[in-house]
Amino acid sequence: MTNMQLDQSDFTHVGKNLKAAGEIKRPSLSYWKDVYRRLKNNKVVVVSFFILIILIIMSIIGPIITKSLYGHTYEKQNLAEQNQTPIMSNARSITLISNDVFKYEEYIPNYRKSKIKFKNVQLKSAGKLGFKIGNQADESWQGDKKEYELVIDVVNTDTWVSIVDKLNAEGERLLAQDPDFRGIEFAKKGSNLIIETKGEKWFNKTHWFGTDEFGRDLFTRLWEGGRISFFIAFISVFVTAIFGILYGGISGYMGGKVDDILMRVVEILMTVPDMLYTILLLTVMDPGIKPISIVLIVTGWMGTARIVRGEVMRLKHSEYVVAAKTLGADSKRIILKHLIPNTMGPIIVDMTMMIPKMIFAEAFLSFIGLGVPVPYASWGSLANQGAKIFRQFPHQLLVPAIAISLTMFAFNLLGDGLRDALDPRLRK
Amino acid sequence: MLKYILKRLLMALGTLWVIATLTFFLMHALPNDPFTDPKLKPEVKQALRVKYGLDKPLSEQYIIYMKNIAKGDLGTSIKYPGRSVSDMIKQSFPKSFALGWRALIIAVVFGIFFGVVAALNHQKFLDYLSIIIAIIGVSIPSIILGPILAYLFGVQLGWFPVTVDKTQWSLILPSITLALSSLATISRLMRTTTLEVLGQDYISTAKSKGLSRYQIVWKHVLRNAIMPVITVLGPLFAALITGSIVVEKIFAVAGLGEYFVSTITEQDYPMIMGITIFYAALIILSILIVDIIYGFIDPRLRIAGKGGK
Repeated sequence: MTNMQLDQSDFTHVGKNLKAAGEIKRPSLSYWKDVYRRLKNNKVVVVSFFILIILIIMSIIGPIITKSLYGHTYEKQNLAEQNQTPIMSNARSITLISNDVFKYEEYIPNYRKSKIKFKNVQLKSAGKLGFKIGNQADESWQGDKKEYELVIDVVNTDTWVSIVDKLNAEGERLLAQDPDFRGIEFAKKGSNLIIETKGEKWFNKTHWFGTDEFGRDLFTRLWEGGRISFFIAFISVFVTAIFGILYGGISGYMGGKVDDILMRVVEILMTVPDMLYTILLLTVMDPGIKPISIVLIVTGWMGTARIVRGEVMRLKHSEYVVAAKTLGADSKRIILKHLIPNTMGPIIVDMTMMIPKMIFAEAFLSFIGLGVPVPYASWGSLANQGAKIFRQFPHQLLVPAIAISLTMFAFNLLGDGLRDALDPRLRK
Repeated sequence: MLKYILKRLLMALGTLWVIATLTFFLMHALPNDPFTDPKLKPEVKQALRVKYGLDKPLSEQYIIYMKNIAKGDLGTSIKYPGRSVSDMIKQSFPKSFALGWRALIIAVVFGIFFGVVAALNHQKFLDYLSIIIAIIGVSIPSIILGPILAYLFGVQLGWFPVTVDKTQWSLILPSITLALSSLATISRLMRTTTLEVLGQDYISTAKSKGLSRYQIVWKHVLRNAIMPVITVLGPLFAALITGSIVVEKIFAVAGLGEYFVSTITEQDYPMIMGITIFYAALIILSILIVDIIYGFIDPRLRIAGKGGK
């Protein structure tokens, strides 16, 4: 660093400009305007917000779209179209019909047996090795009733390389004979034998997200489920918030003995495993949307009550409340007009964070079999159904899983953004 | 301190009593009782009710049950005749616990690690990475994570067994499934508290003293930032216990969570009561222990406690 030489001539006196000092450079912002401005500039919040809007709009119009286009409803079964995937393929299935040749540790087919894997194969002896390609019963998706047999003879001098070559050559011969065969490929990767049949692939035009095990349209069921999941989540959060605000507000405002008793009750209720009351309440009532919402409210309001109480305790000795009291405002007015509006920030954040919790809780209940009754769909019951046959038809779990995760993701990010925006200390 | 612990223990007992009473009456408010099988003859049902004391008035049943509990007797199961509830708990709880403590360790160790790394690299790549991991962690419920992990690592790659058997190896997937959301919670909390501590004056002092980065993080940052994390350990443990109900179902563990759901749907009164009281006691105790440990660890509380008396 060099020392700078400064002398008085470097500076000029600009004088006072009273007019400029009195001018308001920026328009004055109310608290909520400021919050809105900060939210608008937060890209993550904007993106999550739009994701949620899209999910909610789709839940409203999704079932209507497919109903008007194809006549799908959430409960209409069509056993001829069961377990369709979003991307259809007419590749034929592969069945092992004769095998003198190799042993294997495990047989892993994909959901339509159009690709199968034999794990840790070992050559055993010479003899016949045969596969059946295609299956008459699978007509609906393979497009015809054709079946083919692919058989080779394996001799003692054969190695895996020559066996795979022989199999592929036989496959090509069958294809040359009849182009409807569509082709097959054998490959040995490491110690595994992998067989895959070829076929055309196309997008499932009538069932965009595929179908479930009863042939019900998953697209329709997903958004129908969204209606139920969102409805349960919103209604429970709304009631929870009202009850929590009243309980916490009274407890915090009254203080002393009342506060002690009310908070002890909350503490006791919070130590009870939620699951217990949930399951007990659900067995007392018939399953449906109403009991699930009630259960979520009963187990959820304590957190909100605590937050509100904390905020009220903090605010009730602030100057403006004391001023209002001095002016003769009664308790009701102070709580409703002063305390609650000023605790809105944390409450809004809490509500935003509660919604994904509610959706998760609903999914959890459906997963252990206490959710909405069949044939209704909620995201949880769809995920539960999908999880059972996940290995054969991954899309049936992935479709509701993506919807649930996307919703939780968006609500969590939105909640984070709101917390930052509502906190005046972070104001720039 | 001793007085404080005694007071807390008494309160815990009171809480347990309230919970037991609430559960008792809620349970008996169910429209059915354990003997609703239409194949049973009415005389047989009546005989069974007499055998299990269900024919007596509710208040009398309640008094009998409370007396037995005071003696430490949780009764015998109705659905599994001849087996005492405490035996069933003793048998199935270790399996749940094996998952629980592994998940807790995974969540705490990795959660703290991610949180500290994120805070030390504030607003850099690693920070954003750990925030993303944390948000994914809270966004993917275990009912989805479990089957997907089982499919990817169990079926496709074949690294781990899909169901839990006697090997240690098979516990890894379920423990991770159980741990993920808690891991995310801890890492978020740890990130916030570490950032707060990093802004404190004593960190600047430590830096100006010429301490190495390692010493600052290890001796000053970590020890102060970890405090709030310890307070959430109790509720976290409780969340892991209830969370394990789902995980046990996915990975076919014959643990307490599995029993819990089935006994409630089967209305096995003594089992419902026994498991509820056990769960509640476990949760209350873990929160209590964490509170006490916290009092010992935090020097500020220790000094304040002495000064007060």
